[in-house]
Amino acid sequence: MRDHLESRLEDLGRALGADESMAPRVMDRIDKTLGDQPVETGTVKRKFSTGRLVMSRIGKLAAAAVIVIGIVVVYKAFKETGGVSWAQVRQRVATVKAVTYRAEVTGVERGQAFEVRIETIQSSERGIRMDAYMNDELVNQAFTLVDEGLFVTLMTGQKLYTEVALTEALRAEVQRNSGDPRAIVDEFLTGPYTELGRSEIDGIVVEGVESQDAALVSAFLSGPMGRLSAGSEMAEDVVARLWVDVATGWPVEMTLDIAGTDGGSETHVVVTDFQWDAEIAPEAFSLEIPADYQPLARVDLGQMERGVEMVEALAYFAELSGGTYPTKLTPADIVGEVGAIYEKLNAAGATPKMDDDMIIKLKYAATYVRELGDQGKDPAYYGDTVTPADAGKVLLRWKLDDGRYRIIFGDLRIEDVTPQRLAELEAN
Amino acid sequence: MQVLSPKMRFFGDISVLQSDGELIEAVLSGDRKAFAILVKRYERSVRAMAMSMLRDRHQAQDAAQEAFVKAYEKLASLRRAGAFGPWLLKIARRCALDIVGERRGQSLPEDDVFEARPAGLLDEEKERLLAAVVKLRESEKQAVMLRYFDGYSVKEVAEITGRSVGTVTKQLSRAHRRLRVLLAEA
Repeated sequence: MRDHLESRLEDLGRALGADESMAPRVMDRIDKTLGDQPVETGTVKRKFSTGRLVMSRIGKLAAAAVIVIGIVVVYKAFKETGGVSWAQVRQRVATVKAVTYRAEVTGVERGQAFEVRIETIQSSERGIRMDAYMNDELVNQAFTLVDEGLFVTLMTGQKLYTEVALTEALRAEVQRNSGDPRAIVDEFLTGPYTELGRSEIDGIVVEGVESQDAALVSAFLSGPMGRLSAGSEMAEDVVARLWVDVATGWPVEMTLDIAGTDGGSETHVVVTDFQWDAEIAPEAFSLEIPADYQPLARVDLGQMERGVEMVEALAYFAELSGGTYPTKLTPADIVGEVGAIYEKLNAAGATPKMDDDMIIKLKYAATYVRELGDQGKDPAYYGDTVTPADAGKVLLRWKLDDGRYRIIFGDLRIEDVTPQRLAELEAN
Repeated sequence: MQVLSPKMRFFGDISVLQSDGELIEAVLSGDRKAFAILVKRYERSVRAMAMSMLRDRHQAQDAAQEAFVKAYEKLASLRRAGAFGPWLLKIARRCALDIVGERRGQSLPEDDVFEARPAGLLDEEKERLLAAVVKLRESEKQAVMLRYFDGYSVKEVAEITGRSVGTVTKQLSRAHRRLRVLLAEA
């Protein structure tokens, strides 16, 4: 049905009218101004990046990805733009080994307004620590510990924690990239921006740039921990602004507005109080889980890679659902389907008891499969048609580094097969 | 690269619709005429942006012209073709702002743009609507302007911007919601 608003917009378009002389006038001016000079005169001609950007996996390990995005956008914006010496800013930041900052995060998620303050320490040697506060009360701490190869989240109010063991390869990547601005600059120095000119923040004369790059955020959140920790699937619209102190060349404030793809979620971030090249006390990363905290979930990404933890999680779901696997293997669908099962059981008078450990494993399994896709490992999931009774059918498969495929069958057997064998199995 | 004529509803030249990215690559490859197609594609949107701030049709035309010339000069600095529309609209905003500043004898921060009333040549209802449109997020604004001001279909907007049809549909849907809120607040 036609919307009245649409008609009004079309009326407005008609009222604005077309200016058919605009193109000839513009082209005439360009011809007169530039003569025969090619458009790229004075600049470096670049090839457009139309695909997804390849992002540092440090982003995928960030505990609160939206905040790290902010930092990334900071780095991303360090291009030569004239005015402020962006090249010098970039060089200076490239030498930074540790930075602390504070972020105020507000927004709406599934109709609920939220407001969180996050204080972050990012160190290339040790990892990332993020402390989240609501109403000035510490509610969550997330540690990505390079040496230990662990990602640990503490929920202080509930006295619960989750622990994710990284694979050796992942740990090495974190160690290589974590908090190293040079690596992040290399990864993220791309995308368009516009200059905002000068302004003033707290008496400091600043100069700013604005950047929008949904692909950047999507890619940045695509890792196993980043996206889960961020709690959302994808950010679609991003508007980030960076303001740099004209006198010192150091960034002083960054704002970030993100709209989720579901249309109902929005996040607004203001990052301030940067301490560039801060001295980090060793105890900032000495994590001791209090004795009265209970484990909510323990995930071993090595076992996930081998398929073992994925099988455990899928078996749990089949038991919960009464004989089916998740229709789709995405974190959002997992949450939705588990929620629906819970409501169904509850309505039937049962008192369902959910195994948080398994549900979190399921979400990590889903994220891991998505990660496999990002890595070009050809994952495919057939939960919409395959059930535990389909012993010989492929439920899930992905490509291994040696060219074979790892298959999880309907009866949850794990087997590695050649591509030819996979084709035979899937033909059935 | 040989540039084909785009589908241009207001110029009667109907052929193959080329994406912004294809046109920009053509310009960067030396085909200056391809830029004229981009000017025709975005002329109304850019002028609408300028009019919303300047309330003067002639000054809006000047600002739009300036914006296109600046965009051409800086085209090589644009790294993602899909961002051309929002990028161009921002340049237009800046150009209009410069004219506002000249009027007042000073340059203004960008946020002041939104305090200005929209084009006086439109009736009051349309002024309110245009003022609301320019407050949309950049990608939503681009989708709305191409869809409703320039009359492109959703599929064509998707082709022009390099987004999926689903994404454009969602952006338009969100834009409708925001517009209703903005209009209710006005």
